[in-house]
Amino acid sequence: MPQAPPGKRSKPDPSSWKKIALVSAAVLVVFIAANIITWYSSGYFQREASYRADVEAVANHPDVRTVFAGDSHFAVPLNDLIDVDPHGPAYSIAFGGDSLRECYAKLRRVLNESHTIDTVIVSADPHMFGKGRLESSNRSFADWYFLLAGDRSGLRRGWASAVLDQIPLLNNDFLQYLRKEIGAELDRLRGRAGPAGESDAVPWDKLTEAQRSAEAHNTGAEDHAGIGDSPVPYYWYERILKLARDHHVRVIGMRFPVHREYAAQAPPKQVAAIDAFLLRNGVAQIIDLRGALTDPRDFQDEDHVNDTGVVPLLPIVEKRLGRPLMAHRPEQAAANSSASR
Amino acid sequence: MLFNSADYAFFLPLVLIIYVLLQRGPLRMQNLWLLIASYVFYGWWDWRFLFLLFGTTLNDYLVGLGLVRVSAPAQRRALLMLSIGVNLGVLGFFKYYNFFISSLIEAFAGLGVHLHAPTLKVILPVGISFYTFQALTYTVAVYRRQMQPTRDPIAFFAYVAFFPQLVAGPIERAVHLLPQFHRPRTLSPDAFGDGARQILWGLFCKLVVADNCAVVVDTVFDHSGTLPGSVVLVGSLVFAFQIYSDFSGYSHIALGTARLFGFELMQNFATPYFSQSPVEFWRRWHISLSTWFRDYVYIPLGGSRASRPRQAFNLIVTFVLSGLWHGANWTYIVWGLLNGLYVVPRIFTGDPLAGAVRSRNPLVRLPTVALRIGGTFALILLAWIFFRARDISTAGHLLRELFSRSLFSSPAATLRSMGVLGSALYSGLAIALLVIIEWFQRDKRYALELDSARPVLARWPLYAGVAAVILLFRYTGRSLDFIYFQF
Repeated sequence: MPQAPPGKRSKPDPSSWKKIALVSAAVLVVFIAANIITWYSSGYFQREASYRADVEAVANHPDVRTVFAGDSHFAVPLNDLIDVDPHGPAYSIAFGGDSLRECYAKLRRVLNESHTIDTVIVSADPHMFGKGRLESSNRSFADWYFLLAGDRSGLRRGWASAVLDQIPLLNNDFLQYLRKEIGAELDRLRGRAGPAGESDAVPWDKLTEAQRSAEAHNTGAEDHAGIGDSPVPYYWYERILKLARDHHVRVIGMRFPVHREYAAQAPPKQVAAIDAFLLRNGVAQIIDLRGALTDPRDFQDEDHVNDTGVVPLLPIVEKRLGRPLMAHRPEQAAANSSASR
Repeated sequence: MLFNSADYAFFLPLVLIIYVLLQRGPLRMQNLWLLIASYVFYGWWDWRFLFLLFGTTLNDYLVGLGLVRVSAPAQRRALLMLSIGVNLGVLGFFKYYNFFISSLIEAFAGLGVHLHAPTLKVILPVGISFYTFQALTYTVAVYRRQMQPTRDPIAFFAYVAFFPQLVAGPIERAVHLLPQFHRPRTLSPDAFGDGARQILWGLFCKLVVADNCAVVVDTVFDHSGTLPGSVVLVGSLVFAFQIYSDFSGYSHIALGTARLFGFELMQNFATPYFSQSPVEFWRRWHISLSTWFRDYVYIPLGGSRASRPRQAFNLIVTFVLSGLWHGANWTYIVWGLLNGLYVVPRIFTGDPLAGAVRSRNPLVRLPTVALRIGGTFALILLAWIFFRARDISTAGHLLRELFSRSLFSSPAATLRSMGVLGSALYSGLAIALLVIIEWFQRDKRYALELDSARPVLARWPLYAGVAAVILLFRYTGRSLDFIYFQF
């Protein structure tokens, strides 16, 4: 076989230890500055700040006895309503996109910080057990809580990767977000899409029932794909239940109202299997309110109750729980909340 | 531990800092530290295989000592055979046992005889093909009296397990690398800067080019249905650059890392896709393996001293074995055979276009060179299809599509329907950037090797630009759905 020709060796770029130290320091300064700018200017990290603030703020609520953990199904109607009252008896750490892993990480933090809590209400929505929730877009936000707890078991790619993810420019999730933002912006500039949110411009209650049903059907089918296929959500629910037992806290599974077509996409057999699993493993009660509201004016879309819907919903929840969730009446709080926005 | 992992980002500085602190102490301490670090590096993947690494290394160390104690040729030969037997035996068991058993069963089944031989659930130890071959160069060199055996077990164990090149080469020769463990290493700022730049280039190749290409390649080659020839072509083209960037990127990081520690490893890639013939390609591609097979298989078989037909036979055998080395699958054997067939004609014809390449007339020289580079790349590309395909029948199927009329259809619609049109364009840009930079730097060991004659304003923007591209355009894993950000 032929002789390998090594590449021509050129005179290397001359260095000295002093020059290397100076260059390294300069690179470090630029890198730190770029990270700081990124942290303060990016919507992704603003969201992360808000995510953490929601969790940490529970410390300012000394009377909290009930905590909600879940995704946007809880967060959209609840957070602005119950989290604003520092003397309220309930608090929501739910956040759009959270999976059960994120719920666990935040609940552990909250239960360690606050000792007045005796009930946690965790989403028992079937879609939380679907394939769409095996990876959450908030995964690196939750990594922070695993790092704080010194718990490697929840870190998908080890502690080193989680530590690097805390540096904005090394965070892969941020980079994906940034690229999508740039892509969307370019599309807008080229006139391929309207301004952000334009597609949601028609209010849910202004659509015809046929349109609502079709939309709910599609979203429901997508959200409920692969329910029960993976053991991962069950694993995290078991950890939530063990965490609650360790803190002598009861766990209640809950499902908020959704459009009937959306709910219909979750196979009843699978839902029954989830219920059986939860009850077998220590969930005290499952409160299924998916059909509790039917008026389209109570919904933001097919699977989120809006500010109007939460007014009739909250008394139902309080009645089922047998305890108040607000220090003031919902109508008043909703009005306050709307006014504050 | 992988070079592009977060673990390595912590591991490397830690190992380097302690290594520098040990500089003032005895050399043995530095070697011991490298040995410990290398075993941690390897054990990070699966600590159980450390015993295998330790066992084969101990065997070769003892064989080396034995080779100076005995002088009778038969005894020396027996010791060498022991080393070869253990190394190739371990490699054969872990890598080829199931392949040979299942091939045997299939062959007998074709004759109507049904054998029942057990296949095993064997995990292939990472890097076994590399470190066994590297260890063999030691016993062979001692046997051939090209070097004295080492009596320093720490140096020898560190040589076999040296973490920068343990799991993916370059496959070093003992005569080149082992002496570097016996003499004090000077850590010079020039070598440090040079090593850091080579690591930077390696990261670009791996994270920006190879990993982004992988999305397209996996989608195309793992597709179960029929694909148009144009999509097969895109997949093959992208794979050609994926495998090159992946492997050369790893080698660059290995060489750069070794240089940080004061070691010099052999160059493993020299812009192979600019080769003007398959013979030249094999001088520039995975050089440490090509030269290993040349020195330990091709030349012992008779090399080029034999008759032309015999030379051709030697080449074919060498290339087929080289193919088998890459993996236990018929696809690799066919890939090796094909590459052997590419280089054999040169034995009989010489280089018929050599005159045109040397012509002073650019109108003759440039088209000839372009034609040769393009032709060589096309041949290599065809062979890559066998390398990447799941099995021979899939490779045949892909080739049929490639040479069908669908080659002239637009691949865009199919790639879009497979969800990788964006990734294909993204990969294309990364490949273009790689090719442009490497073309201008093609006579250097790596693309960021810029000499001091170039002004600072030319050098630093390039370094900063490559670093920025790595930060912003690196592959970031499976794309997350951020739809929930609206809530």
